[in-house]
Amino acid sequence: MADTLLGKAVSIRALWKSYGPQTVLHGLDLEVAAGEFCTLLGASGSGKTTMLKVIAGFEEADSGRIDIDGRDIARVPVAKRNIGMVFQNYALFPHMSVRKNIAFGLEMRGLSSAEIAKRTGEAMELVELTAFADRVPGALSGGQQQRVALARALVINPDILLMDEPLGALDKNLRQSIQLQIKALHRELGVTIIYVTHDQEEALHLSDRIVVMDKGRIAQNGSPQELYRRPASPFVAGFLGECNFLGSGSDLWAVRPEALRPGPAGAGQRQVDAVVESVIFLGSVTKIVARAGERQITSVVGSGLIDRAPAAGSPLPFHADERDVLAWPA
Amino acid sequence: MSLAENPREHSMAPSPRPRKVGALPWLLNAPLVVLLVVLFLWPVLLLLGLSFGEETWTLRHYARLLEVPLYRTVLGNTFLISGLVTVLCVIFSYPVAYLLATVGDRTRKILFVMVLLPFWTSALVRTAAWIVILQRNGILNSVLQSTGLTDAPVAFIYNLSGVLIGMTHVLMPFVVLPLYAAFRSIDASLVLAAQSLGASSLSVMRRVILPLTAPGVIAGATIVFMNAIGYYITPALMGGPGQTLISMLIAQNINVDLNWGLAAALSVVLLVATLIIFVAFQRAFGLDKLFSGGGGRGASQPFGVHGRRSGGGWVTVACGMLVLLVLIAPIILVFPMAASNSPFLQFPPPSYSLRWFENFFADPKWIRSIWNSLKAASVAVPLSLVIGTAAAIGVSRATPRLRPWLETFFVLPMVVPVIILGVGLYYLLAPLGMLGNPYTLGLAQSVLCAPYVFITVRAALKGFDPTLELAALNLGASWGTMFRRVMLPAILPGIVAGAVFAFIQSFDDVVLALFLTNVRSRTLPRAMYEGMAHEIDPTINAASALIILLTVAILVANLILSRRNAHG
Repeated sequence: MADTLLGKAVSIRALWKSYGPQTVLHGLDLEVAAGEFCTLLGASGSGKTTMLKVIAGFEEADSGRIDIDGRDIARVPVAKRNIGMVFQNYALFPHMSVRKNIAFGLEMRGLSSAEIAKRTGEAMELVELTAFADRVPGALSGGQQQRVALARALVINPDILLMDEPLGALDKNLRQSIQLQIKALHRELGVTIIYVTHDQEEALHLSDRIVVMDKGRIAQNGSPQELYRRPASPFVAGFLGECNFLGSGSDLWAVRPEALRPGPAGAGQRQVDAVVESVIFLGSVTKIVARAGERQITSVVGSGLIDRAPAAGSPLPFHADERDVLAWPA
Repeated sequence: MSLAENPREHSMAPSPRPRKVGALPWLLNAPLVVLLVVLFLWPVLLLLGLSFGEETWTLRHYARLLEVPLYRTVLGNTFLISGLVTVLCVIFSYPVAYLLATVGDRTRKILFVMVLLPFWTSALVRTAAWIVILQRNGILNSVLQSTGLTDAPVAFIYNLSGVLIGMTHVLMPFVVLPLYAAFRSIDASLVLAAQSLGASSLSVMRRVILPLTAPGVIAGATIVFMNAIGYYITPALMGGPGQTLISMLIAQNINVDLNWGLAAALSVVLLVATLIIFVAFQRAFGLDKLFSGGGGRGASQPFGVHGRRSGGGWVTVACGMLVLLVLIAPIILVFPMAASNSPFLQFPPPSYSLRWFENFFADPKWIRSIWNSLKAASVAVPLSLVIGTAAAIGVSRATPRLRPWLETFFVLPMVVPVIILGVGLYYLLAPLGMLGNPYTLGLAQSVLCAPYVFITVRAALKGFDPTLELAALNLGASWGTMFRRVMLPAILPGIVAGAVFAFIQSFDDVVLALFLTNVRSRTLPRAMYEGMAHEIDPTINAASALIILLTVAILVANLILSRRNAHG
């Protein structure tokens, strides 16, 4: 498992899928480079999980093509795809010990028992579960189960690793520590990961690339920075990070809370006149919530930059640099 | 949005779809479908055809049913007696369900045995025990006369009271179980709320408990009525000429009058009545409730007595205990009677010995019948186990549209009166020369057994996480390997329970054996039935005791196995 760059590239072209009259994937195209961490981010019903199921072979696409390492996998049955999968509920076999769960995929590959024991041992060490080898999943905590699922999927040296909301069932603290572990594992092993989540923070934290999905289409595909700084549409701007939408119709523009600062505009800046609603001190930053006409706007300012908090109800101008303004000319 | 776009126009050269497990549901469902079509649907349809005349189409047989006063009386009697039995079951079940719901967990377990043991004991054995208790010189009459309560023996059986006692005893658990579940699903806070609003315990019963338990009662009562109208053994053995029911008339037309057309017409009437009730039940409650014993969602704090029981509560508890004692009494009394040294059915026995057991094992008639029973079970149990398990898996993968139809079809043999199946199979198999051998009987019994396996395995599968299957396939397992290593261990308790039910069903069957076997190939229950039809010989008590012990042993083994599985 120590080989680096064992991941393979994935190429998806014109993938269509419908359930009865409802089309859930509208001819999606996606290229994932070998060793890349690619996250499919979207609300429920956006088609992200369907996409994962089609790649794994649990669902059949109506049309389109999926290549892994340049080979069409359409005719490869699920069991022969060599794709690792971490399920949302982990899907650990309840009657098998941690060791047996992890060894299962290796047994299916007909490896020698010495080889199986060696690689299972390594995998358990990798996720720090050696001490729990003979426990059944029911006797483990949620975080430990999650790591068993991860080890079980990785031990088979998968061409790609699919992860379906793998942290959804865990509490926030645990989630953050496991995110760090996943990121470290990805760096260490160089496996290609396609990760599905609806949690934008998780996506920003983990991904080399984020694919924002909306109603079965790809809304935008790019690095976390690209998506945050240059969202391709108001939808992406609103979905990834907080955003103040201003103007309307073809003049719609937006600005991130940290780019909107109190005070009148100078050269190369835009001004928004508003009335302060509340001022919330959050430690290092302070959040000012104000009303500009119909819209509520939020400004986040470093707490050190505010001498005196503006009073609720008082009028206050805000400004933003033109280069921070997000706009979508038709 | 461009929903109108045709997906295909956008695709690149579409690659062929991967082969899926599309054919699997069909392969899995097919064996049970074939079994039921050949040995269930086909014979029943033959009877339907027969009822309209053998050569030319005629309504003659149906006309006769309406014209002859005796037949009208029998039809009326059947529904009247079934109705009475249903009412009695409901009345006696209430105190028992209340008692079960309001005692502590440990007591409840013991009391449950008093309900479940009779439930799982052969109806024939229970009927035999009742005859021993209730007959002219039976246990009850000797007690009554020796205590001076009556001068002459009271006629408890071979009349209406005999039929009512026997059938109520046999069918009552069908109401007790859903009613108990209904009681448990009442939230205790509802009772407290009613009391805080000033309701007396009688008002709580009338205004809160009765309405909330009504669905459970109606579900149970429907099952009882549906079973009662087709019942054969108990009324045949415990009733008099005035209590002839449809099922007995069917048997008589075939065995004595050789009037197949009329027997077929009677069968169709019985079948239609049963199916109407079944469909109504399914519409009202859904198929699941037929087996799950009713039961709603578990209440956060289940109904029970918190604090002191009211006076009415104590009366109800006393009534419940009394009913439970009557439920278990015949099963218990079989043992001293079987161990009696007396050739007469005296109670209490003057002295004890094992002579009737020795008699049983020394008589080739009994030994042969045991072998025949085991031969039949050796076909029925494995066959229904494999076919029923396959169907349960197949149904869980069938399309949502097809699934309810398959489920209904697969449980239909539990609903249709066995006598109809017996007559139909006799008519189908006799010309083929297949009768008179225990293996044919086993094949026929698998029609009765497979639905039990289907239901228990289906229930086990509902607890099986389908992503485990995907995970196994994803890790490289073939479907067969996945089944063996992942699914089978998960559903094994369901399969074992199915095997237990299938064995009990096969081993206790009397009605199919009456039609499909002869003197040489008859099974233990048939041999007992024939013995009872004349005079109860103490050897029959010994046979009853052995059957009860076997039932208990099987149930205990199942319990231990499922316990071990739950903990392993």
